[in-house]
Amino acid sequence: MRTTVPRFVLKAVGYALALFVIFGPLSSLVIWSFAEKWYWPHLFPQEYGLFYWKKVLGGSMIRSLILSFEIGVIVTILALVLTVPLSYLLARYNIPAKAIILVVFLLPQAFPQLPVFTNTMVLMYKYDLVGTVPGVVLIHLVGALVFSVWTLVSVFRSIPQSLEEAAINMGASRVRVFFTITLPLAAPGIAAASLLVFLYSLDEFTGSLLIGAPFVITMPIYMYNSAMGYEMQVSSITALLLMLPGLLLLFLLEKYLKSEYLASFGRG
Amino acid sequence: MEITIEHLYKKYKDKPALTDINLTLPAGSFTAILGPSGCGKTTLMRCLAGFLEVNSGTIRFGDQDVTRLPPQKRGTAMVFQNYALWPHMTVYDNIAYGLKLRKFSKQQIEEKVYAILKKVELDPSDVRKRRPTEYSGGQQQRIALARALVLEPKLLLMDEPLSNLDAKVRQRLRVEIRNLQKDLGITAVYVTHDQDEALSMADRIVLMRNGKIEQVGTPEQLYNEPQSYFVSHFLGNSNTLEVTHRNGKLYLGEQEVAIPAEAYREWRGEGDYLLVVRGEDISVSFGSEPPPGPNTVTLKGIFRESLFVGSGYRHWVQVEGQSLFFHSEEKGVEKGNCHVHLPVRKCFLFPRDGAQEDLAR
Repeated sequence: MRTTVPRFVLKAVGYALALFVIFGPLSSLVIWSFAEKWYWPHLFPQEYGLFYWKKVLGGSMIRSLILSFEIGVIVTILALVLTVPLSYLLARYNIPAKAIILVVFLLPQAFPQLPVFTNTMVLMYKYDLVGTVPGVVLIHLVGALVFSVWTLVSVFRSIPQSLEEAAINMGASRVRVFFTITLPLAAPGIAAASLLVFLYSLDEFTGSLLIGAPFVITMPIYMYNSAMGYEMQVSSITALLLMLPGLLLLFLLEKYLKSEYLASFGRG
Repeated sequence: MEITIEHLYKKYKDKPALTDINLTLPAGSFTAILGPSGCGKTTLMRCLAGFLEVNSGTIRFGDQDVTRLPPQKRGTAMVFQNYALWPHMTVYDNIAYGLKLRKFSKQQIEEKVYAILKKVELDPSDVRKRRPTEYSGGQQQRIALARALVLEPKLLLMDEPLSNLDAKVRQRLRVEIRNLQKDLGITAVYVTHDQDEALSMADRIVLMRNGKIEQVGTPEQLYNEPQSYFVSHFLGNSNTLEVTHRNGKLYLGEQEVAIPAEAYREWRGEGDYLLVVRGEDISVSFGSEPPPGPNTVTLKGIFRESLFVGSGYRHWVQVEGQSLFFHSEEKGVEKGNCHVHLPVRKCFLFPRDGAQEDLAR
């Protein structure tokens, strides 16, 4: 007689493996963030403690964190204000220069970021924007607008036009239809788009370094600086903190973002 | 309210979608616009609703010229194929939307909404809580109908409203829509590709093809007196036989078809014709040739097969290599040589040239 391994054991092993592959590398970040003394050749730290957490959360790091969130919020609001109407127009109407507009939006992404941002920096020096928060916001918008238009055009396309026509037919003006029908229906998609944009801004590195540093230090720049200075604990904690919004997004995305929002972009 | 359409033209880019449409819809009438897909029926309806701008021609609602009026100002109400109910609102809010636009008081809105719910036979108990997506397809179309009718429109436009529903619900809603329309006395236009729907619901049918009107008339007129090969072929279970007029007589292959001159819808002299006869008018007999009757054309044929189709049998008969199909309740027991009888009054003859395009289908 052959003994079979119970299914749940196999399942448990599978989950354990998956967890190890995903969280294994991350666990070193967690260990580092609590290590107060860790020298070679020890496999694990000799002393654990909250010293670095306290140091990070009490020090200059918290300023970077707040700044990053502020910039993220400003970038998100600006991106939405600019792209919600634009995406709606692109999704609903046959605008003559539609293809050109879409290409213009994709263009900065088509080239390596570094030369694009370096050129932008030259331009920004002219207007005294380098090293200022508005400068960083602007450089974030370059990428943020792309993400936003990409998602929102698809969001608006996924709303059947007949839903709007039904309201127009009853006598509602275009503006009223937009605010009472289209916008409420697009809300989950817009929420997803704003999360994408917010996260992009939070994690943006190249542009922030070129335009912002050394006066505007966002979280990624802060992490970069501390990693460069071999402050393993500080950069680990920063990395962990930067991951949190990403995790939050994953949960929200699952709830709101339909895959067709991304897939239908550029169709039609 | 009488609707008048005169010399209406509509093009998409350079492709003509509607060509010289002239039509009068009497007040209170139920008109079905029927035709195959791509015939322009939906385009015509969207022109009436104002969603499409016409290239030339006029549309009048009563005495008012609405050709250049935006859709918001036309006072039509439209029912869509996909219902187009707003999923983020409750059923009540869906129906009340238009009333709120018209600035009715809360109490008036409530009265009107509940009155119309009763009319379309919808359970009013939880319309304030439930959203349209929680209802079945048939119920959703009732909600959509209520939403359109609550505004007491001058013109009710319906764009294939039943085509997403299953057969039983469709049958029932046909009758209900028709009764509601007569009850409220509104002028209605109903776009459909389903001839049963058009024949059973409409006072008048407008049969369209390639952006043009083929024939307008009552369902009986269209069915019994088709004016073109397309109309005769499109409606009903039609069979087409290719025949030739030569030396003063009509031939099907080598057999003479003894048919009087009045069967010709259009006389073009000698040449090829198409003989159309509906399945329900065909009968078959076996044995010796019966005496020729004055009102019947008799042809020699071969009975091939009977297929069971539930309500009866579908029979396949060949005459000179050309196939005829018809329906009857009994199964054909004999096979082989037979006589096919066609009532003269039910045979329609059309010139073959000009109908080539339809034959290819």
